[in-house]
Amino acid sequence: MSETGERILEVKHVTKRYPAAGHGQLAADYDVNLELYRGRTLGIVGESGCGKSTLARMLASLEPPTEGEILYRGKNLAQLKGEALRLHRQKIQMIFQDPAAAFPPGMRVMDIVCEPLLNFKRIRRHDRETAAKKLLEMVELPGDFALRDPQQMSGGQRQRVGIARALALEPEIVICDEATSALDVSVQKSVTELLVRLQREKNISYCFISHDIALVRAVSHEVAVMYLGNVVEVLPGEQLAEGSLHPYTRALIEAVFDLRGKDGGRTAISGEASGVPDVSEGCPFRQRCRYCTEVCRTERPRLRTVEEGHQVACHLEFREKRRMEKRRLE
Amino acid sequence: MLSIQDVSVTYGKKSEPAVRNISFEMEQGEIIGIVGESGSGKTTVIRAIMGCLSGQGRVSGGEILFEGKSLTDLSPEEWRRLRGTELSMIFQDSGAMMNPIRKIGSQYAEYLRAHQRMSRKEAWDMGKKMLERMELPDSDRVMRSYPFQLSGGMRQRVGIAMAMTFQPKLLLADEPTSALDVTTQAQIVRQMLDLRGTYRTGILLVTHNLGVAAYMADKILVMKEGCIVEAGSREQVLYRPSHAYTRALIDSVPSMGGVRFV
Repeated sequence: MSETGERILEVKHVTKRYPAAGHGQLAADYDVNLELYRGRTLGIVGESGCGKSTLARMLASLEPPTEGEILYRGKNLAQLKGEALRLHRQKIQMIFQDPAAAFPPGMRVMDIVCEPLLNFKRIRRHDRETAAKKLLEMVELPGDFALRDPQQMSGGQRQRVGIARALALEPEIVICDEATSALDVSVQKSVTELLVRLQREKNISYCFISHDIALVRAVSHEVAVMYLGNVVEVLPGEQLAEGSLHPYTRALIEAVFDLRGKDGGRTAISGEASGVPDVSEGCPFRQRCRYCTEVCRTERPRLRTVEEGHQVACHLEFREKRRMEKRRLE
Repeated sequence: MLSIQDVSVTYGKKSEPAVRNISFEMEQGEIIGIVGESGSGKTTVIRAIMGCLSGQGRVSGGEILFEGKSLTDLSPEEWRRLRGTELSMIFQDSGAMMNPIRKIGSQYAEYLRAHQRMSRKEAWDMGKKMLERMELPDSDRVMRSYPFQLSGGMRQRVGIAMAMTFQPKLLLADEPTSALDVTTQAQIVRQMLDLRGTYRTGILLVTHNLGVAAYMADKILVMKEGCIVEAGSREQVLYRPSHAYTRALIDSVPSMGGVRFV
C-alpha cells in the first residue's frame, strides 16, 4: 500500500459518539484507522448503519470526531477554526447521493458550479459563464447547460453537475458518499467512468463510499469493510473477490446476485445489523457470525496485518492458514 | 393464468401512451422478471394488472386476462373480492402501505377478516402463523408492534406474509428488495422462492436489479421507454441477448468477477 507514495489523509483512532435516548451514548464509528494516498481510491463498503456516512462527514470536516484525529498532510483537522478551516475546505470536497437535494432550488447550473470559485475569489463574476462552460465540458456535458435549471435535468446529468461543482476548486480529496447509488445502472457506469478518468487526469484521491461491494471493488485501490461502526477488514481492491477473509466481507460478497457468477445470493448469514452499535466487549459481528466462538463474545478483535496491505479484525486464524496453504499449493 | 394482450396504458390527456402494446403470457407457479431502468414503464405494467394505476392512468388498449376473465372492466365489488386473495401485491417499502398509528396485528387481523369470515382470535393466530412462516422471530412481539418499530427487512417480511396469507395465484412484486441491505435482500429473495415452491404462486417481479431477476425469474422481459425490447427465458436473455440495449444493461452491472476501472 505504502509504495504508492504520498499519504495525504490519515484517520487515527477516530471514534464518533452520539447521545442516545435511554442508554447514554452510541458509537457510530469506533476506533477507526484508515489512510488515503495521493491519486488513489479508498473504497468504504458496508450496510446501512455501519457508520460510513458519519465517517464521510468527519473527513469533510462537517463534524468533529469525538476521539482520535484526522490528519491532512500531518495537520489535525479538528484544530482548524475560522478562516483556516474555510480555506482548508478547498482541499477536500464532497459529492452527494442526490445532488438535487444538495443544490439550492432556483439556482442555475452556472451559479451552482461557479459558487465555490466565487467564494474563493478564483474568478470574477463576469467570467462565470466561461468558467461554467469549461467545467461542464470537463464532465462531458454540453456547455449551454450553464443556463439551465437542474430540476429539468436527468439524474445522471445532475450528478455530473455535482461532480463539476466538487472539482471546481481542484481539490486533492473528493469524498463520494453513495455518489452513484440513485442512478440507473447504465448511467452509474458512465458516471463511474467519468470519475475514474478525472482521477487519472488530476491525480485526485477519492474516498468512495457505497453499499455496493461489487461497485466498490471496481473502482477502489484499497477497500475498507465496515460493520456497525467498526472497520473489520482493509485490503487491496483487486484481492477483494478472492482474498478477503473476514466472515462479514465473505457474507457481503456471497449476498451479491452476480450475473456472471454461477450463483449469487446464497448468503449464509441470517438476521440484520439492526440495533445499537455497542462498544462493549466482543466482536461486533458475533451475533451473525457462523464461526463465533467463546473468545469472540468476550474480546473485541483488533485489526491485525495478515500481509502487506491486508488487515483483518477477526479472531479466526484458520481461514488465513487455509489460504496460505492454498497459495503454497499454487 | 395471466395473459396480457397488446396492452397500452395512457396517463391523463396525453396522446402518447406510457406503455405501448405489451403482450406476454404467464403460467401458474412461474416467475417473470420485468427489468428496465427508471421511466421504462415497468411499474405501470403491474399497476395496470392490479387495476390501481396512479393519477389519470388508464388501460387505453388491449386486454388483461386473469384466469380467462378480463380485468379491465371489473366493478369495484369484483375488484374487492379479487385483490388480496387471488391477486396480491407487495411494494418496495411495506411499511409505507401500513397505517403508522395502528399495530401490525390489528391491521393484519382486519385484512384477514375483510376477506374471510373468522373471529378476531382466529385471524390473530393465522397472522402469527404466517409471520412464523416468514421466519420472523418472536411473532407475538411483531404483531404487537407499530410499523416504525420494525426494521426495513422485518417490515418487508410482514408485507410478504400478508400478501401470501390467502395463497394468491398471482403475486405482483414491485421492487420488493430494492430498499433493503444486501444480506437482507438475499434472505428475502430466498424466502420468496421458497413460497413459490410451496404455494405454486406465480410472481411477477418488477426490479431494476438484474441480478435479482437473474436469480429468481424463469422468464425475463426487458423494458425500455414503454416497450418490451427483449423477452425470453432467463438463459436466453442473460447469455444470448439479442437486443443491444439488453447487452448494454448487462454490461453495466458491476460484478465481483467483472472489470475493474482502476
